[in-house]
Amino acid sequence: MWTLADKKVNSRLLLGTARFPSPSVLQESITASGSDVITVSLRRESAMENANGRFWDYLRESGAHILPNTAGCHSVKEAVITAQMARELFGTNWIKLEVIGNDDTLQPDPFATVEAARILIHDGFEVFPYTTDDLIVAQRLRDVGCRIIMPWGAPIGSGQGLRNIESLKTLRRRLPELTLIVDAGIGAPSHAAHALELGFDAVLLNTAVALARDPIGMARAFKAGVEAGRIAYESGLMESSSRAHASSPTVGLPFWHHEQTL
Amino acid sequence: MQSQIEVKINGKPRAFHQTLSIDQLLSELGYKDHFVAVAVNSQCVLRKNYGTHQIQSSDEVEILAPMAGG
Repeated sequence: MWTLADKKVNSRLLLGTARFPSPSVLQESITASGSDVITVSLRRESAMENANGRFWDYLRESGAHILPNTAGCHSVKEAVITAQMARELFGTNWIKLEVIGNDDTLQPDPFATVEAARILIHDGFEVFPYTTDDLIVAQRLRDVGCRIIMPWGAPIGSGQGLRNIESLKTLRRRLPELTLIVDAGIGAPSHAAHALELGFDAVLLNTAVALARDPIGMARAFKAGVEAGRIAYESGLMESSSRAHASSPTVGLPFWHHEQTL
Repeated sequence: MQSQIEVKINGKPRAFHQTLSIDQLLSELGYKDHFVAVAVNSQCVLRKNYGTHQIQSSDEVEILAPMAGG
């Protein structure tokens, strides 16, 4: 168990719910991932379409904590009102804050994100801001009251993994008091394991599971990757070296080794 | 004679015969369990006020439902 905001959770994998081939595959993938936290969004939907109730029923049955997002928002105003509507609908003060600054890269707008975070925290929200790996932006988010920061590994949905490992290491080293979650860009269980090995508290991903040939199997693989990464971090990774070091003892080698050196 | 009100629902114009509460509006539109979030003129409406908040003519109403998201 670990503490995420005000809740005790087991898993260090937060799972998005978009792009799954069917609601039943989504449900089974949530279970296979072991995730305690799933993300959802809010969208216009006519009553005639009537899918919203069923979708919500599926998620409610999972028993996971709901983390609504402000995906698609491009301004502080949009993000704030979307967050307020999510709180009313889902009955949670958790909000994954996304304020997009560029539609091609889906890069967050750091200035609008910080301002929206400030307003939402003042309004009683627990803000999970999606941001880049920029240290100064993360510090500004901390300064306005964020206890959780979610830097990207790579652009959303790209599956490129951790593109800037040194920046991520810097975030972890300089912000030890914060919960850090790598959000976006993770494409393989090894990427997730790497993030956890670096000391990140968790990862948030969606597409890598949803678009796998077998999403349920991939959810299981990510569960194992996240667990392996965390155990490795807690166990202490060895220092890398530019030189080789024989792992077998060099004393007591048989005689033919000595003959070669004569 | 009843006065008609004209509002925008999710960006589309709609007309109703009289002012109505959000609960009445959602019923009128066919949202069965009213499990949606509502904003009027870019202000979020608390769910506890759905029965009392009256929609006025020219209001812009946004109705959002849960959707898959990452």
